[in-house]
Amino acid sequence: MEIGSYIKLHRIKQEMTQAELAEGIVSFAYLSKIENGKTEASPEVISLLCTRLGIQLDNEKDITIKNKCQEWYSQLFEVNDKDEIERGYNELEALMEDTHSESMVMFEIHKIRYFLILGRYEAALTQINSLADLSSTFDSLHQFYWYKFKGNYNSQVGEFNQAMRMYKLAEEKLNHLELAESEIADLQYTISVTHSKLRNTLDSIEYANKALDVFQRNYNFLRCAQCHIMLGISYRRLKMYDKAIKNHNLAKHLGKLNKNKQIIQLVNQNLGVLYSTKGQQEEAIKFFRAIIDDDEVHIVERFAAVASIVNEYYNVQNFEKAKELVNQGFELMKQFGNMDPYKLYYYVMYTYYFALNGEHEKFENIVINEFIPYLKKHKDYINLVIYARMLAEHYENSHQYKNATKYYKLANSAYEQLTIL
Amino acid sequence: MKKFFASAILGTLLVAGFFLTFDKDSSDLAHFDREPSVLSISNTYF
Repeated sequence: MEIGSYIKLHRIKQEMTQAELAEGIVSFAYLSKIENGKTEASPEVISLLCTRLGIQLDNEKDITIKNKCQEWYSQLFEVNDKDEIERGYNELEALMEDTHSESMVMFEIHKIRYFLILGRYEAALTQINSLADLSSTFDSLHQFYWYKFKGNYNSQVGEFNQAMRMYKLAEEKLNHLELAESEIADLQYTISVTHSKLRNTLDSIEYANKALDVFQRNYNFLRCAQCHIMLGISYRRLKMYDKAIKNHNLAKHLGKLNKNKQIIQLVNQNLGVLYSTKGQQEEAIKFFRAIIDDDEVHIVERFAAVASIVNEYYNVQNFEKAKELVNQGFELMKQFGNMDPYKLYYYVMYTYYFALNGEHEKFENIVINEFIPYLKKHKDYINLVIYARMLAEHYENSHQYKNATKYYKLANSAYEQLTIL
Repeated sequence: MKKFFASAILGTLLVAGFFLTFDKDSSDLAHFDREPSVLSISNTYF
């Protein structure tokens, strides 16, 4: 079956029609059967087709490729070194260029994850679209990764409902496969994160615990830390603060053991949120500040912390401090270059900036004409509730009751959407 | 005119009041939880 898919893949890559490839060798209807695994062609026919496509059949090389693929696949889950991952990719691309390998299809599927890790979402989507036709010939293992990585794409672009559908399809495939438990745990972790995004708190806890169980047995401290963060977030939402703090502290401890700043600062962000929920503003700000003051932390994480503190100060009407942090936010924004991936924070900063400086028209303009449409488009109901409400309060304070009602209603319906989800 | 303003104020208060009954929960929404990435290794660190 694999050789058929391989031939089809190469034919499509070379923009050849079935008729062009088949001419003089077999009928194009027969070629279609070969490509879709509906028949096994003779070695002579396969050899002629491969020759026309300029590809070789080399079994020894295939074993090398298989081993290198396995190594590269695990890098896509564990390794932080971009150069190493790119080197592996380039090496495999070159090897597969002109040699048939049993690993070709799986490699093409893993390219989706590769592009996502590098932040190349368009390339990931192109790869998904190019494999769509071939997907009907995938076996169960291929399908598992196909659904999982499509889900990853949906997750990265914020389509969490669609992501969950994909992960559930991948989960169903587990019944037909015997995968390593760490592989299953990774899917369970992924489902936990997605449940959290959809505010399915109890489901998030269930899946985080399943994954944690496996990662603990394998002493994979980093993955354990990630699961503890998920539990910390979920328990906070259930107002079980002691359990939440315990889980976050465990995650932090594991992050320190691994010298992983990303984990440590993620914990700080979530602890800040927790203390903010408890009304302990000073504690909350301490945690957010720890992130902002750390130059080694990625700029997006620092920006999220700034937005959190601005929100804190604004809500307790400490407008001087809020303004100070907004200016700090703008300084950080200058480093972004292209704001498109961080549009949310851009809108948050400018919304507060105009509100704090009493620039009412600009405030109304950005929220009504840009921010709210952006949030609606991305189905970001949480922020829609917050900022529609902020706008409604603004109108209420200036006695524009009709507008106030309109935006309270919007906040309300966004809130209802959340409870439906 | 007076009736109109009275209705508008009443309407706003009703909607705001309805909304405020959820205040305890909605205040929970005014926060920025950050989950770790589904990619397990976050791409924001490249």
